[in-house]
Amino acid sequence: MDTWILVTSGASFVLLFLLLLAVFRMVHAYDAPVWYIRMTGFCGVCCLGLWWVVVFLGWVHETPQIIAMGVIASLLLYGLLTILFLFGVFGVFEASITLHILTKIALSGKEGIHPNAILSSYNRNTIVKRRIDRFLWSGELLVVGGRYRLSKRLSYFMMRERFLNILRWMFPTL
Amino acid sequence: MSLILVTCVFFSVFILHVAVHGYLIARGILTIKSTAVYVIGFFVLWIFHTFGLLSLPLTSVVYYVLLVLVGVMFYLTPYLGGETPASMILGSFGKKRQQTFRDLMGLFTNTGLIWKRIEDLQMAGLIQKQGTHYSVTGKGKMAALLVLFYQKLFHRQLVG
Repeated sequence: MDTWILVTSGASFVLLFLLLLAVFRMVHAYDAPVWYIRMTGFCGVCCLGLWWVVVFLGWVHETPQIIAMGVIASLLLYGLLTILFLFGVFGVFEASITLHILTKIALSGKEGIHPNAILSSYNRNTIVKRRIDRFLWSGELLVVGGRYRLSKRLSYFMMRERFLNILRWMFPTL
Repeated sequence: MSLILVTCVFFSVFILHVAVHGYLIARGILTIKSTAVYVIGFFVLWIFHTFGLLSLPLTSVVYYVLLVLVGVMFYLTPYLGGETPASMILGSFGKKRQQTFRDLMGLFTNTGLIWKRIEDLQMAGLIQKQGTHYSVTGKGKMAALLVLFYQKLFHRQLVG
């Protein structure tokens, strides 16, 4: 039972990883978070399917209650893996300004790059515009008479900000 | 039963981490070493295992490790992520309901968005200044390669 929990949750996460490799090549860049959530749900269902196969083939000989607990444990592990990947890899690599600057400097080679050259192609104008475009695409912002306004009272970023406020309250800085 | 025990152990250690962090901050110390308290959880799990209380030992350890990784990641988020431009833009609509592009641009400066990050990268030893130009160090090159590998693998462009 112990091994099957690890196998099913691990296999579901590997499937998610492979699906993301394929899907991200086909969808619009701004749609990636939505597809991440969709694929996470799909692979969660696959995790249940794997358990059905394991039980159907008679590889697990336990009571239905213990098998149900095993399924819940699998989904818990799978859920934690997806959270780690979403916030630890996907979120950081997708939208980090610091990493963007670092790669620009790295691509300039051994001679390096003058800060003004970075600013000419990457500055507050481009950073703000990209975020507004992303919010317009996701429907979080609307344009009315040349002015932007919120279309949803509660968005992903609003929730994130509230969650961060709780974290800042728990782990204050100097 | 195993996972409920592990969850209880994790949240007990998490509360201890919050307390340790608060104690250190009150004394002017901010260190990632406070996350070492999570090691206590492994000892507690080992004791539970010794007394036969963990029916799923492998799953319990993996579950605890993942919970700790998530906990540490969220602990680091306020420092690494700070207040992002995206959340600042959306947060600004709480003060002013309708805004122009110029209003939103006014929330930021190149100093805060670009220069401060260049300084942070230099302080972290990822880039170095050579005269008027900046270039990556060996450590920075590795980090940049990791980003480029991610971009290549997932066929993504940085949208940051």
